[in-house]
Amino acid sequence: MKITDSVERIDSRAKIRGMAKYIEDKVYPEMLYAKTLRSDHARARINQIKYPECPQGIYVIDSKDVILNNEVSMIDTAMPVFSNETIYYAGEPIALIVGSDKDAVLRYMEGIEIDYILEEDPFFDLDTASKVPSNILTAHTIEKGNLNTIEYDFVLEETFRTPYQEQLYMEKQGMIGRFEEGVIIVEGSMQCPYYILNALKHMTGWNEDRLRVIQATTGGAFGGKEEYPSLLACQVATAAYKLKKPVQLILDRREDIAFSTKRHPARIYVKSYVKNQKIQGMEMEILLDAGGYLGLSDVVLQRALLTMTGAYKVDHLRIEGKTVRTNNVFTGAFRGFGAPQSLYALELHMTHLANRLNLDPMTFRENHFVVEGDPTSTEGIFHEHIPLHELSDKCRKLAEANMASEKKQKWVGYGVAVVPHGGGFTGDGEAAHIKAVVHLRKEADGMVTILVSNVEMGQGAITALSKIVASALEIPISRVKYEIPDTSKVPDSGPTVASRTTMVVGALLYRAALDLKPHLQELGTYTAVESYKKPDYVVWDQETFKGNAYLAYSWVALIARVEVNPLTYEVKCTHIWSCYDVGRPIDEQMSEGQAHGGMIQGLGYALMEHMTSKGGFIEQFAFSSYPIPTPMDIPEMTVEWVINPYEDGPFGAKAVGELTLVGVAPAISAAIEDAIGHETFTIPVTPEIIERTLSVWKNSN
Amino acid sequence: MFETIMPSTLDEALEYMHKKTYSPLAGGTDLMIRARNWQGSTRHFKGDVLLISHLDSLKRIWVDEEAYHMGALVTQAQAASSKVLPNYFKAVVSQMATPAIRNAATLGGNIVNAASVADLLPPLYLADARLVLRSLNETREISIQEFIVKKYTTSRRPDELLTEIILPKIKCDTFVYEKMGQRRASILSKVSFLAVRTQTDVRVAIGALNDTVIRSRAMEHKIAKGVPFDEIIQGYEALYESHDDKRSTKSYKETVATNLLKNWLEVNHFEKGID
Repeated sequence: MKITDSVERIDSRAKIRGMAKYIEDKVYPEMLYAKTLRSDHARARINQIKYPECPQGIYVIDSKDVILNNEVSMIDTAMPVFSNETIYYAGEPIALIVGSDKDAVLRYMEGIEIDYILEEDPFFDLDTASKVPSNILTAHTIEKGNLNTIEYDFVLEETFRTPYQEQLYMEKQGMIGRFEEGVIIVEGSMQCPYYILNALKHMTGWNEDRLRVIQATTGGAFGGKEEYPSLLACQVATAAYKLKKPVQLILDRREDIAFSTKRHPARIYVKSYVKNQKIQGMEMEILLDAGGYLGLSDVVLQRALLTMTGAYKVDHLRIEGKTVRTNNVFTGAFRGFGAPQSLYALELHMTHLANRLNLDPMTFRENHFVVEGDPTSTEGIFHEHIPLHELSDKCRKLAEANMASEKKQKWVGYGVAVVPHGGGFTGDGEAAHIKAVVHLRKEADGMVTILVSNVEMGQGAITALSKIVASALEIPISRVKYEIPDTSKVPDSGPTVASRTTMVVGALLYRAALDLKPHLQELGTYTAVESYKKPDYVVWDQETFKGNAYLAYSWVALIARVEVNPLTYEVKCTHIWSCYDVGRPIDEQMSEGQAHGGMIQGLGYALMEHMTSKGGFIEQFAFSSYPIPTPMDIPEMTVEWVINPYEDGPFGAKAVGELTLVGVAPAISAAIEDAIGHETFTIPVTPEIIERTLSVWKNSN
Repeated sequence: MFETIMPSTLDEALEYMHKKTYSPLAGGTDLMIRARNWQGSTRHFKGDVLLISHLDSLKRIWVDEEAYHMGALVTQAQAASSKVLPNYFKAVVSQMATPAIRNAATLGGNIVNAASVADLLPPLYLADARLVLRSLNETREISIQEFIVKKYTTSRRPDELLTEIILPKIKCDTFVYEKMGQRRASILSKVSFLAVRTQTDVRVAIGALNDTVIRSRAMEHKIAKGVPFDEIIQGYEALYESHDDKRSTKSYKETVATNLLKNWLEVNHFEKGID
């Protein structure tokens, strides 16, 4: 086949027909069910837990049962598998109550009494927490040029706030642990089998001969199944080892929304120095609410900082960032990984600057676009062709047909955003930490098997990778198989995160295919092995944050149109025009699907996904109180591409998945501002926010 | 544990209810959710359950000279697609929940639930609807205002079943219905506004703002008389008793109710009155 051929999604038939087995569908002989005993308080010490006597068939699994280290390894190891002393957030797991009869488990749990000591005041508010030095978990500063020497006509400083966002994958978090023939086997819904394997190694002190992680069909993840499943895996592994029986832990939907990771609430300060209609320098500060544990928050912060100047060349810079410990639920990976927060603030700030200068917001952006050869915010070099002007031109032309046909009317508005997303791990992470390895095996029957640890989670990974292999080998896609990730069978090609699967892992498979190709006609089997090699242009110092922060950038220009109801302040986003540089889309239909999904998830973030914490508990923890867009809320979406092949991507492909979300909220917010004639500084821009904005303005005039 | 009974007729159901208190469960779209429990464990019903969704005698819609009659087990989907029910009523029903829920959820369920955000209550208040309650030995008919005592509380006795909704025929030349939610479908109301007018009459109901529906015949008479808008608006605003909640704010809900009222007064040129 050729890479430009359109194919049917390989995983779609089984899923549509209900044939796919998710972890909740799996039943093993003698399997037991686990329910999590959680803390009622956000900040406390556990003095004593009074467990009633266990009736037959009911078991309590807690920190005393952990094989070696009561720690979940996710970069740092601060988070316990089961809390046995200090509680840092409401709902923190204390034990698993396990049994074969769920009613009996619940009856037993009603009798458990936990005696807490509440001696310290909890922190729930990001601003308050950030003023206490011991709450600052990590901090970074990026400086470039010299802000003290610049000349300027005026300064604009603004503070923006972004809220929680819940991934709301269709399939809830779930794991089954088994102990068979001396091996702990953990199976479940996940993005990163080897992250879990490493967490199990750390917890048990065992090596991989006695530990095995298998991915079950995963019904959506969006980052929510990056690090959180390591916690659940450690818990079911402990229970299965102690009880020598399979143990299933599936979070209920409300439990999942309330206690699993979500996008970091953020406060972002942006200050620009402007002369002759050009930004001379910028100062920025971003604070992220990390919740009770650091988890991946510092990595999220790094991406937020490294993407803070977006698509623009800024010569003089100072960017500071901090992760702040609070006693809210711990926050983590979510599509965009820090970039949705920083780029919301930057892009809306760019629109506000354009308004001050009375310039068209797209034109003002164009005057600042980076071009090939420009220095990056970290003093690296943009080493590739950057088609930003082509993207903004094309996007504008798409929207103009519509804009020209309607006169400027009150309560109708247009907003733009232009954003990058760097593909793969930050800096030299791919080479220094991930060190991906892929295997491609020609079987004796002529089939070719892909062996990687990157998972299908609904994004189309199996289809994209199979297409790359089949096209490189010039064989039908039906001759390509994909091995379900099982750490006893597949090499560590890294986690399924950071929009890296097609771009980085796909490139390794492409090279493996070229190695395999001459052996296709041979008898027997042949395995091609490919390891990640750092390209020469990637120079990065993780200590100083200097160099090329990303392998390659994908770009998008967006224009959103909204109508605001003048009586009810309800916002209807009617159309989003979008134009992407993702190198070459591996499959146009799948990439369009990613674009549509990203726009809808971004629209939810922009308009309705209102989530707050009270006393450390998430207040909107049900489908009925946490609204995500329905088909009735989805605008018309126009998707176009600028083909700009990336030399190290498979068939020229770059990152797609996260790029499609990050620019949507600022484009829609700007469109609302255009419609109502007032600036906004927070999302979601609910009708309540619009009502308040207009009433504040009315009262002050 | 709880007992689950499935009577074969309405009379049998009433006999059960005469002997003991049951939760009548029809579409289950609210009760099943409230009884939620760890998935795979027994549902957490607070009392014994009487399954009634199969009682066909309560699924009819019919019309006589004075009123539309709806059995309590008429589903929302059935009402929305009815050829005989008035348009203002159907406009309300067809914006409730989602198509799948409307297929199961009954009119009676939404009424006896008596939530402050129940979307069926504004049209029932608007038309001065009456409800038929049956017990083993008695059939009584009461107004919707008498039935709804306060949020989540009705005057239904434990041995009574709501069997029929009587929606008097009112003249309705034009109507407006606006439902504000956090999104455009499948969402609870933050506030709703329903108003009808004829050559001789106006009726207004504001839902979800207070614990119960706002309806004032006195204010409607003032509108019909052409009393100045400011006075009308002040009159309605004096009835507002909303508060901030996790879905919206007091300020938003009250401002929007007033905006919709004012706009409706203006577009209908009620400054002249209609008498």
